[in-house]
Order: sequence, then structure tokens, then C-alpha cells
Amino acid sequence: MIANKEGITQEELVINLGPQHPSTHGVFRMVLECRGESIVGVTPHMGYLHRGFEKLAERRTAVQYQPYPDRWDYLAAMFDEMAYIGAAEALLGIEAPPRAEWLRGIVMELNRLSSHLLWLGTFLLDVGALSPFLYTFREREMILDLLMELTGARLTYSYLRFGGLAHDAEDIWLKKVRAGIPYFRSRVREYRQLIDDNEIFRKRVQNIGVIDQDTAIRYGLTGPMLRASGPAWDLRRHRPYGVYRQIETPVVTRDKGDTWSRYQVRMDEMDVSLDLLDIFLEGIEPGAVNAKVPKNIKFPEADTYFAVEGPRGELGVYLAGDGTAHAKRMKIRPPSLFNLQVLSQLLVGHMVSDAVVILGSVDIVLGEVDR
Amino acid sequence: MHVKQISRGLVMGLKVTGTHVFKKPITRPYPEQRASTPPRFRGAHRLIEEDCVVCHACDRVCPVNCIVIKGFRGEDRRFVLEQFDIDYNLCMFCNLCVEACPPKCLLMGPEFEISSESHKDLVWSIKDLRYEKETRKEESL
Amino acid sequence: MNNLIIATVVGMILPGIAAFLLWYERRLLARLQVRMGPNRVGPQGLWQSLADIIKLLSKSDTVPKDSNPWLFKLAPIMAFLPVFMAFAALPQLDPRLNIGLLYLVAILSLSALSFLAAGMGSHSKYALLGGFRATAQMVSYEIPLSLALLGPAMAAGSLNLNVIASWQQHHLPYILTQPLGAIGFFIAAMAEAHRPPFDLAEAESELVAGYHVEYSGVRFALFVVSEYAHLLLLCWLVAVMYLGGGAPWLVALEIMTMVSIVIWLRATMPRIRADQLMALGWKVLIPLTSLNLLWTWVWNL
Repeated sequence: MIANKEGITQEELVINLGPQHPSTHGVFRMVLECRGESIVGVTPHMGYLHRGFEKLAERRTAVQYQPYPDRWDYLAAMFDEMAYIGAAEALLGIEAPPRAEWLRGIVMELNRLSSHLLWLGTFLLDVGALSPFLYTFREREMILDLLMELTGARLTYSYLRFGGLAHDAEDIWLKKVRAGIPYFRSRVREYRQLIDDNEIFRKRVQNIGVIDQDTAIRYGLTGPMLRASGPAWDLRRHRPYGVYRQIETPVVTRDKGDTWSRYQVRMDEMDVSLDLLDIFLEGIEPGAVNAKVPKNIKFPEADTYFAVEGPRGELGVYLAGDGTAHAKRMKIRPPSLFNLQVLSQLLVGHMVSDAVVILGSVDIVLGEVDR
Repeated sequence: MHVKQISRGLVMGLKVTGTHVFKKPITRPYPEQRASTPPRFRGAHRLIEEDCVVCHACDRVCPVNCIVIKGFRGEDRRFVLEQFDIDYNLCMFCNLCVEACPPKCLLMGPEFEISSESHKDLVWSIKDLRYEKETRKEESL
Repeated sequence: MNNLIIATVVGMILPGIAAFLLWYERRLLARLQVRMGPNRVGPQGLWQSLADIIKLLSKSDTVPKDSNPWLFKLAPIMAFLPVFMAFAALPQLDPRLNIGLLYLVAILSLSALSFLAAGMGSHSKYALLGGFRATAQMVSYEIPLSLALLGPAMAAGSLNLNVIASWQQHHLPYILTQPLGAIGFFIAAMAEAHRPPFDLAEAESELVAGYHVEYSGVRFALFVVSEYAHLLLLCWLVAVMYLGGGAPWLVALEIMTMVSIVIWLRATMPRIRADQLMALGWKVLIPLTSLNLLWTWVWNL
């Protein structure tokens, strides 16, 4: 509070954004201190969606815990499954058969595409464009239909199993995916046509929320957030797992680190995902999808860390066993949470409208942040 | 100046939205037009009562303990199912019980409209879950 | 007596047209977004806005605690009245009003007060920010709007809208002779009516609903009706001032074309930011419309 000589006091306007606010992508809450329209301070609050998933791993057997990772990040559930199953497989010493790895690659890239499409729609809705939201949802619906046909559910797939998959994919399903790729390519081009050259959009996102390379690394950012600032760090390329060991994933980077770069990185990543899908569909080989797995799964007395490159960044699972069917300790490294940390630094100096845009560009999923 | 670039962006955007007017709406009006459910869809459970051997495998594997199962040994030493309740307040449709079932008598059907007005109605017993072998044969034909 | 009857009839028909525009916008916007839009109530969902209005009228009348009840209750009426009063200047409704243009600009600027009143009276920070934004927007876009309107008035030598409209019958329409003014007027009028992409006063992704976030029931309906009446007014003005007017059916066609373009723009454009809006108004539109005025002066020399 600043008092001036006439006895009139000035103070910052405190705006409570969330937890019930359309643009906080769930139940995130920011308390903004504003001077007029510009932000001078931010206090983020989280934890409204805490469901205790780490503790649950200690109370459920390894098999029983399989459906839970779907609920961490409900927009990209395949990656959560892969992180948990991959960590458990590393701990148990199981190797999935090659066909299972190829199929895991396919479903993960499809899921990345659907997650990025949802991000694009909601981000543009935050900027104020109405139509792209519905266009991207149309395409996302097609991907969800494909995944539903394969796995039986739209979001919580419960598809990956220890040492394999729940079901094998039929040839007709693979054909459908192959037929879909050119369509999705043309759609991604269409979004770029719709919004890329729009002057208002460029003015709204360029030079907003700039993260320099140093800050990005210090805050532990991963995924598109990091790659938009310069460092070419992609776990698919640099710490490969599963099917990514056999191919060389192209890494998309930009150097400016502003919201526009993050948008560009994600748009290019959609193209990369489509290219990868092409490669996977070429490379997939016939065979079994399930390895031999002991009937009663017991985690040995050891620990491991396994990370996958999710659509939001490095999604890691630290898993420690103690010789029982339950995990001794499980720790999730959610990319959204780490990416969100930089937010309070990003917002200061911008305007209220920018706050929403920057938050949208971080691409958070509250299920993952709060777990 | 900028004017050329601005107008180009505007015209391109208008073109994309404008062409969509002539496309057919992709909305499916729900109650009239049913949502499609593929064969693997995980909806409400179906129980083939006669095949159940009361082995408790589904009960044991369920992560949320939503299955209550009771049975007794009948005259011909076979187990007869007495009670089989699934509490849909808790169930998260993860398919683990279906995968665990040794005689494959627990399935998941295409029904997804299981909402009700009270929590009590969401506890389904044998008569809600029952699935006749005959209907299954008819459906597979 | 005659005038009173006309005023009453117009006052009853205008909300109906506003409701029709509401339906039309929802329907066209839906088609632009490959949706269906309202299609349940009546043929093609035509009675949807009517049903919405009946619903809003039947809702309980709420005034938020700690709000300023006077300002809160007055604001919707203050938004509603000036827009409806402005229709009186239109040549199709009153061809004899000699100070039409002056009256129009004077009356329209009154509605800025209503947004300030709604923002201040609601006792909500979102509403307050929305009210500030709306007022700043209306005050700064008042100038390019007036400057743009001066062009046709200068060319026709009259403030009477009817004279301006009929002048175009035996000359070229102003959109061809004064394209800068037409563009400037269109953008300024869109900002004045809070149409997207200039709807930052009610930006649903930032301020939830801006200045009318606390309103419900009849008062909310008044805001909505006045907003669509404003849209109708601006499209009507474009039709009369720049497209040349003409026979009533031609004017109606021109109005519907303009409304469609406004909706099309809404479906395409992201929302502009507050400081960029001010920059656009002061740094682009005012020079643009002043240039247009200069051009008109040279043209008529």
C-alpha cells in the first residue's frame, strides 16, 4: 500500500483467477496483484485435484495399480502407462516383444497428437479465437475413436500391460491409422493457415513470456517448454526407450523462448509425430504382443527411474520395491508441475490478458500437477 | 508496409473458416443418433451366471473393491452364485476383472448410460448384470 | 400522435429483430465451426432466442450483496435506452431529422456510462476491470467513429442521414469514394459495439463475462438485447452511409450481409489486447479517418 501526501491510498488490485475459472485448464488458482492491467505479483496455488496417486501405489498390488496411471494425465494417458509399466519392467527385468514395442510407439504418438490438438484448441481459445477449438476437437475425436476401437476407452485406455499389451491390434485398425495420416497432415496445415499469419495472434503471442535458455535449464523445464528456448533435449532421441531405440527422432527447437516459439514447437511436433507414425506403421512386424510374465508379480528389493518424453515433457517414475507385490515407494515426476514453476516469474510485467495466454502456452494438466 | 501481410493473414483465415460453412456439421445429436461403441468398448458388466465358479478372482484383482461376490457349494459339488454386486459408484471400468476371470463369464458390454438418481441404484446385482448365453449367441450371429 | 405510434411499434419490433440476430449469429457461427447450433425449438431452432428470453424473464431478480444497488439496477437501462433512441435518426424510420448524425454520435456515447456503472456497481473485480476496459474503449473509439462519419456528411453537405443516403443514389456509394473512411468506420463501430475481436470488455477467457458477470435474469437480457440492437444499428449505418441504402429490401439485404461479415470475423479472429486496442484506435484509426476527411475535402474542392 502506497500512501501519498493527500492521504489517498493506493493499493494493488488483487484478482483471484481460479480455481473455477474457464482459462485455468482445471482447478489451478492464481492470485494476481495488478496495477491497472499490468501484473506486479503472482501467487500460484495448486493441490485442488490431489488424489494421492503416489501413496496409492503402496496400497495396491503392481497389477492393481495398472489402471491408475491413466488418471494422472488424463489427456495423454498412454505416456503415464508407459512410464509406470516401463519402470516396473525395468525393475522386474521383463522385455516386451518387438511387436508390442512398435504398437506402444504407435499409440503413444497418436496420443501425443491428440494431446497437442487439445492444447492447440484451448490455447487459441485463451487467445480468444473461437473456431480452432472446435476444429481441433473434430480431429481429436477421430483419434479418440481410433484409440477407443483399439483399447475400449476414450481417455483412460488401460492398454499397456507388464511385458506387453492388453490386446493385439488388428490389421484393419493399422490400415485405418495409415489412411488417417494424410488427412491429419492436411488439417495441421489448415490450422497453420488459419492462425499463423493472423496479425492479432502474432501480436498477442510474440515476445510474451520469454524464457531464456539459462532460466529454462535452471527451472528444470522439459518438453516443448525447454525446446522453445533453444536446448535440443528430447528423451526420445537422447535417452531412447522402447521402439525409439531403433529410430532417430528429429528434435524440434526454437531459440526465442517466447509463447510464439512454444506454439511453433508444438505445431512442428505434430508433424514429427505424423512422420514417426509413418515409420512405425512401416516397421511394425507380426508376432506376439505379450512376453512371459510371472503370475504373481513381486517387485524386487531395488529401485529404478524410468522417464518417457510425454507431450508436456519428461514424465518420470521412480519406483522402489521391497520384495512384495506392492511398491515400497513410488514418485512421479510430472512435467506440468516442473513447467509450472516458472510461471510466477513469467507473468510479472505482463497484462491480465497475457497471463491467460502464457498459462495456456505452458500446457498444464491439473491431474498431473496435483496427482 | 505491414498492410499486405496483415490482409494476407486475414484473407487466409477467412478462407479457412468460410469454407467450413459448406461442410456438413460433424455434431451427432445424441439421443436420436446413438454414439457408436466398438466391440472392445468397456461399458457396464455382463455376467454369465451359470458359468461362474465363484473363484473370487475378479474380487481379488479389483483395485477399488467394487465387487461383492458370494456363493455356496451346490448338491453336485459345483459352486452356485448367490450374490454378485458391482458398485458403479466405485468401478472405474479398467477391465482387470474381465481379464482375471478364468471361465470368461464376466464381460463388459456396450452400455454406458448407467447414471441414476441415487447412489443405491448404482449398485447392480445379478439380475441387472445377467447375460443369457442365448442372447450372446444371437448377437454373435 | 402519429410519431408516438411509430415509436411504439418500432420499440416493439426492434427487440424482435435483435432476438432474430441472436439466433442468426448462433446459427451461422455454428456452421462456421462445423456445428449445428440451436435446432430444437421451432423450425431450424428459430424460436430459441424467444425461449431464452422467456427463461431469463422468469428468473429471480438478484442483486449481489455489497453492490451499489442504484448503479447496478440503472446500468442495464442505461445500456438499453441510448441504443434504442439512436434508431430514431435512421432515414428509414425518420427521414426528416436534420441533425441526425450529431444526435446519433451524442446518444451513442451515452452508453459508455452504462458499462462504467455496471462495472462499478457490481462489486466484482472482474466486472470492474471489464467496465474500465469498456469505457476506455468506447471513449477512444468515439473519435474515429465521428471522424469517419464526418466524411459522408461533408460530401453530401448535410447532417441528415436521409440526405446522405439519397446523395448516393445519383453518385457513387461512399464505400467506393471513401474506402478509408468505410474501413475506419467499420472497425470503430465493431469496437463500439464490443464485437469480437474487440470484445475484451467481456472476454470470457480472461474476465469471464466482464462488466455483466454479476447480472442475471431480466437485466442480463437487457444487456444482450442492447448488444444485438447495437450490432443491428451499426450494420444499418454501414448500409445507409456507405453502401448507398436504397429500397427497403435492399437495405435489409445489405444489413444481413454486414451482419454475416461481422460474424465471420468473429469466427476467425483472436481477441485483441487492451493496450493494442488503444494503439489501434489512436495510432491507426484516427490518422486513417483524418486522412479520409482530408481526402473528402480535396475531392469536393
